Amino acid sequence: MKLRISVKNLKEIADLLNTIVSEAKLTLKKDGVTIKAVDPAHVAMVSLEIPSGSFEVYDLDAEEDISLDIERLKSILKLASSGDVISITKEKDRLKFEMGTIVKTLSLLDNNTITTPRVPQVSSESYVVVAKYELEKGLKAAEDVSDSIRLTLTANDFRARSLSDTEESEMILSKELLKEIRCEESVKSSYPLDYLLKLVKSLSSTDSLKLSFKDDYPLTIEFEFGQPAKGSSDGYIKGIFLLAPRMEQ
Amino acid sequence: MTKCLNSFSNRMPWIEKYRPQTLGDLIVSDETLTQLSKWVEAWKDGTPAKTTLILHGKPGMGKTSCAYAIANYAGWNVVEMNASDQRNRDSVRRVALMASLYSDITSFASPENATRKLILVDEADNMFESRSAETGGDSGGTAELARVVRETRNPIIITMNDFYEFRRRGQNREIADNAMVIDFSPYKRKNTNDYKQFRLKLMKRVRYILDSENVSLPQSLINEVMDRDSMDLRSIINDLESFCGGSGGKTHDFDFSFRDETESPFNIMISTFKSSTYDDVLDALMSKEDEFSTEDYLMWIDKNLPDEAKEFEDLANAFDLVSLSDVFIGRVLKKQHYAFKRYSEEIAAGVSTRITKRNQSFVKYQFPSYISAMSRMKGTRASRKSIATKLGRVTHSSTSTAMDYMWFFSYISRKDRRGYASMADKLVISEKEEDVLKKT
Repeated sequence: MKLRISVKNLKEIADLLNTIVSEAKLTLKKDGVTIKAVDPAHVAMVSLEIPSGSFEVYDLDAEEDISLDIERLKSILKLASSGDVISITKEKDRLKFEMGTIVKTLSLLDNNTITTPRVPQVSSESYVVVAKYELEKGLKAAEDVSDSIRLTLTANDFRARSLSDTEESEMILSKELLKEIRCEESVKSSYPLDYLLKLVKSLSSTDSLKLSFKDDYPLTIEFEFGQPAKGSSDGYIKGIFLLAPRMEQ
Repeated sequence: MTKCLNSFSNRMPWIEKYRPQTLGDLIVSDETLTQLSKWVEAWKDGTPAKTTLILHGKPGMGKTSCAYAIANYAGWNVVEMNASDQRNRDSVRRVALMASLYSDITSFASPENATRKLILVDEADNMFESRSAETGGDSGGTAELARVVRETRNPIIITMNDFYEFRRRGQNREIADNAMVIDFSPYKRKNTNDYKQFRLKLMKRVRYILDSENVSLPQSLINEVMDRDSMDLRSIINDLESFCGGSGGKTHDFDFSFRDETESPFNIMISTFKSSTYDDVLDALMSKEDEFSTEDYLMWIDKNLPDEAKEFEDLANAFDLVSLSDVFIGRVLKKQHYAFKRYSEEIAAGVSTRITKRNQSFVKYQFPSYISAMSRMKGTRASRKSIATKLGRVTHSSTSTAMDYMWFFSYISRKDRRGYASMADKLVISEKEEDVLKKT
């Protein structure tokens, strides 16, 4: 097995996974890598499809699963400079990372100790496509108010509101400020603010996010990130992030 | 030797394979069972007043198994915080609090949507032991847990060994007040109705396991295992399994409490009594386990000697030798010249030379009753010591002096109730300590 990937892409993948888990199982297939993970509280789930086009070199001996400590991976990536391309090879139960003048190895984890969740098929008619920086502003405003944020979607606008006994924060994005909106009947539901904020912060190369949800139903966030390797056109990484709704009393 | 047939179909340890699947599989009293099912039912119509279930009792009684059986019965997913996780404020918030307020994202994958999830805080005793940042002990963890219990929309089960100790700390009283508390010790005293009921249920379960595994063991042996492991279900099942050669498929020796690769006490007993030369006995002693001390060796000989030496004269001679060895042990311990223990051991190793008519038939070596009795009383002894320390402090005497006069304090506590109440208040006497004092 030999893989070559830009530090930027790998770092973004690691950062995104690390928002919900510290260990993850990667499924290496002919046409790319898929990763599914759920956080220990069963509140957030992430599913990634990394096409082989995201890699400079994608050369497998066989399709296989490998499990990694994401935090260790992140600390290895800190050693590389952002313009580097990393070569990854597998030696028995270790991964070898070569970047510039540095060579590091990382022990793989036992695949059986890491559970891969089944990703639920959730779907909603109502969705909104919003610029990442707009959403991030609204989330940051709510950060010190409450643990959860209530999202409301109407035919004309998208709102994110947080409420505590003493404070209140609300972001209102009218139709004109949104890239896309589709909603016939208004929907609302509350989600964990912390995870949303961590997700948005980890996605450095994403411009916009598609959020779909309905009343007391999981929130689906779809996005693309990463840079295709040279000479590849479909090398964007597809991500789906799911959040469980807050249970109303 | 007892022969067992092994089923090779499944190599899972019995303790996993026969983990209770539903409430009915649990070995608990009928009263407890009613309480448990009431609690589960209450969750069917919204959040009940008692969101939390506290299960407390000794290890191995099936507290964790009970939590999983409940989840299975009610169709809840389980989010577990166990002892190996960090238990500080941050991790309680990240896992337990998040899980308690939001629905389960994985449950949307199955057709019967959005069921509840059970938050299991396992072995909560450890949560409060250490305050160092390194081990991730309590730094606001209990306060956060109190918040979780207050605000949760999902059922919570907290398991612990010592509820009374738990309740005394910080904000735990609030947790305890918001919880339904179930004592997982199946009976208070032997030979009560509870005890009989418990044994009956246990026997039924053991029979079920043995039948499913297609093995048979003599009733006397099952009783023996149950007696030795007293109330510890986990040990009983593990012992029975190791008895039947476990899932590995080979027959083990009769060996209850030592399961190591080195020579077991049982094998050492065989060498001691059945070897043809004294040197063979010494060889066997060389490879004994470190934990198997000279004192243990003497106790094992003491217990099993009467089965080996059937002639009175032999028995007397052999015991003479054992007592000689014991005298030396006493001196070694007194002078703290532990290196000389070896000589005492070697004296005792010659015990079979004193037996003229050896017992040629098979002897089932037994675990010294003294050791099992002591280990059963371990908890009591600890409480005894702690109350003696407390009494010693107010009576200006040492712990051991207070221990000697325990009969007196016990007498007072029974006769002068008011005086005792004020004393108990001042000394902060726990329930266990009170039990010890009253029973002395």
